[in-house]
Formats: sequence, structure tokens, C-alpha cells
Amino acid sequence: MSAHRDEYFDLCAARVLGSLGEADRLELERHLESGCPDCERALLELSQGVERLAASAPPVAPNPRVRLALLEQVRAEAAASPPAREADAPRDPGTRAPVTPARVIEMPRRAPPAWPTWVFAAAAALLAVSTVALWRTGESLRGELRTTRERVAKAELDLAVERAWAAVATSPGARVVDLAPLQGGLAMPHVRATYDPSSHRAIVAFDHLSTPAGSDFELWAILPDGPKSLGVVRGDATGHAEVRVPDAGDPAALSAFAISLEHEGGSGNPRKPAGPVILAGAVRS
Amino acid sequence: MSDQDPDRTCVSRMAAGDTRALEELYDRHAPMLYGLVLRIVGRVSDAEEVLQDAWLQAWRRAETWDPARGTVVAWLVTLARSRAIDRIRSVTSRQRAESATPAPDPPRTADEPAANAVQRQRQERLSAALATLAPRQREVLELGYFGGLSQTEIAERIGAPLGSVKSWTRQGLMRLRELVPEEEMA
Repeated sequence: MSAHRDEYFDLCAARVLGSLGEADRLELERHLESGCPDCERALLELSQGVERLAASAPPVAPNPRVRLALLEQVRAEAAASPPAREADAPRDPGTRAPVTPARVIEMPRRAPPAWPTWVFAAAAALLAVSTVALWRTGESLRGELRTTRERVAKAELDLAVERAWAAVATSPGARVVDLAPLQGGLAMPHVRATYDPSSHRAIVAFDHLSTPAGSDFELWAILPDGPKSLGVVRGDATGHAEVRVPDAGDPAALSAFAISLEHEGGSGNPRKPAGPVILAGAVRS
Repeated sequence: MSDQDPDRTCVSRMAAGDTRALEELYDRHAPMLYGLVLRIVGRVSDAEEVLQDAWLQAWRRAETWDPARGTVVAWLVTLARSRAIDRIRSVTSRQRAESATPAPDPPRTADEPAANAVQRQRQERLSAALATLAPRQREVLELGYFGGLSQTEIAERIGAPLGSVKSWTRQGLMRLRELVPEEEMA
């Protein structure tokens, strides 16, 4: 599950209002797909706000001709697609009532076939078995088709999300920030942040990330009202890590990225590092 | 919501092809939906077409309504608003400029049914609640919901940072919810 961030609440609000941009919509969908009780509760509460907003428009009685036109169209559609059993029955072109045959002509009975009864029974049994087998095959194929469609839809969603993130690096206004050490004595990771001012997204790449025992590195965005935590960073076996930040802040507000060295688990305060800031880089226009 | 059960019953009956259920639901909620659509598209002729189209979609999609995803009213509001926003996006820039002007009050005749008095009282209460929001909060909600603008477009329109637009949206919606409790929406 993608970790919950407070920024997702803002995306939830934009979604229920109907003003969410495409990239943010995909981001939020992916987050919600994995199940986030905080966001689900927020969506419900924010929807109630939208209901109030909708009902704040003064009610106006529409012209009765709208109702008449609507019902005329609906009745025409209903008449054009009656229930299947009735549709199959022959109808009188004038009254549209089902037609009852006027009389029945008795045909001479045919002589019974010379085949023994067991042949028909065996054929019927074979037919039944074949039908069940075909039905099962059909069900299985339908299930596979459904699964394949779901996989394709998920792949398309993943691809769209990846494209949105790839756009951070290719954006003409992208700003690349190499974070420089502020103090010695530690094996410093190499950190490069790429920030797209148009989408506010940032990708922060870490190499040679070797965390001292009992410690964690924490990433920060430096804003006018102080630092804001972007989460604890842990590298893989090769010392590499990549942090994707959906909203690093407005370009007018974001001044720098910084890394602090914290006790294991992070500073515990999303607005203030507890440990020393060891790396920093200014975001320049 | 106290009128939830009759609404649900109507939608079930609509799914079974009962046109009378559509009439009942229309008579109960058309004034509220028409007011919303008129607020968005601005022109009476457009609003009437959008309203008819929204109800036609409700009739055709009645069997897809899922009670787990919200009330019948919320579903109808979503259908109507979505079509109204599509309409304003499809008009030319000249027409858009015209539709951005305040919606004129449509002419009413003595034969027209008056909008439900309870709905009108509730609307007055909600309108007053909306007026108490911080001006920026109200502005972003109105531009997003009634104007159909994305958050980026809102930020450009009002010359504010995108992050602030996002915050104002969330704060405004939560404040509206607090100001008008669920009991008053019944």
C-alpha cells in the first residue's frame, strides 16, 4: 500500500469537487486502490460538503415541457424494448396484442422410429455432458477474459502514472538540485532532486545510501513556514533509493531540499528535524 | 436522509422499467437539479436540454446505481453536473463568456409548480453558510464546482499558488459540512 500523506486529503477534496487534474487523479486512484481508511473517511466527509454546495444553488421549477419531452422519450424507448418474452410473441399490427391461433389442424401421427430407446437416452446423456463441458469452458474463458481486462486496465493505469512521473524529468522547467554535505565525518549519500514547478512533483534519487546502525535519513522540503517532512528514506541492498513526492510545494514557496540524520524511525515531528541536517540544496529558478 | 427510502424504491422501479417511478423522482428533485444546472450553464435553453439529458441517463442507468456509493440525490446531482460541465466546455469562447454572466431568472407562469418550499428553505440556509466562508475558500469552491475549472485553472484564474487552492478547497468543503449538519439536509 502506498503510504498515506496529508497531501492525499487535498486530492480527495479536489476529486469530490470534480476539479482534480488527470495526473493527480491517477495518483489518488492508485493510492485508494490499495485501501486507505483515512482517505475513504475523508472522501465521505468531503462529499457531504459537496452535497451542501450543490444544494446552495436556488431551486427553480423547470418548464413543464421538459417533463413532457422526457416522458415522451422514455415511453418511446420502453415501448421499443419490451420484455423478451413478450417481444418474441407474434403480435397484431393494429392492437399490438399477442396473437392467439384461430384453429389447430391435427396432423396424422407418424410411425415411431425403429431406433431402440437406449440410443436416444445415450445421445441425450452425451448431449448433457457436452453442454456442461461447454458451459464450464465458457465460464472459464469469461473468467480469464475478465482477469485479463483487469490486468490491462491496471497496466494502463500504472503506465499513465509512470508517464506522469517521467514528465518531471522531461519538463522544460525542471529544476535539478544536487544536495551538498553540511558537515563531515559521515559517509554521505549522493542525493539529486528533480523538481517540476508546473506539477509540483519531485523525484529524489539517492546513491551510496548507507545508514548508520540505529539511525535513519529523513528528507525535508524547506518552505517559508519551516521544514516539512517528506518521509524517512531507506536504501536497497545496492544503496540506492528513489523518493517520489506528489506535491513538494509551490515554486514560490519551496526554497530547498534537505536531509537530516535521525534516530531509527525518523524525527517524530513532521515540521522539525530532531537530528542534525547533513545535506542541503537550494531550489533555484 | 428521510426521503432516502422513497428515492431508492423509485430507482429500483425505474430499473424494472416503471416510468411512473421516474415521474415521482423527477417531481421530487427536478427543481433542485434544474437550479444547479441553470447555475452552471447560465442559459435557460441549454439548461433545459441538459436537465432532460441527465434524467434520460438516470432512466437508462437506473440499474447501475449502487447504494454503497452514495445517495440517490448525490447520484442525480453527479449526473446533472457532469452533463452541465460538458455543455459549458463544448460552447465557444464567446458563448462561454456570455454564460459566465449571472443566470437570468427564467420566466414562470402561474401553472408552473413552485419549487418545493423545504428545498428553498434549505437552499437559503446553505447559501448563508456559503457566504460565511473565507472569500478565497468560497471562490475556489464556486469556480471548481459551478465553473468546472481544474485546480490548476483556478490557480491561474485567481493568481494564487496551486497549493493554496488545494488547501482552500479542502478547508471550504469541511467548513460547509460543519456549518450545515446532516439533520438540516434531510
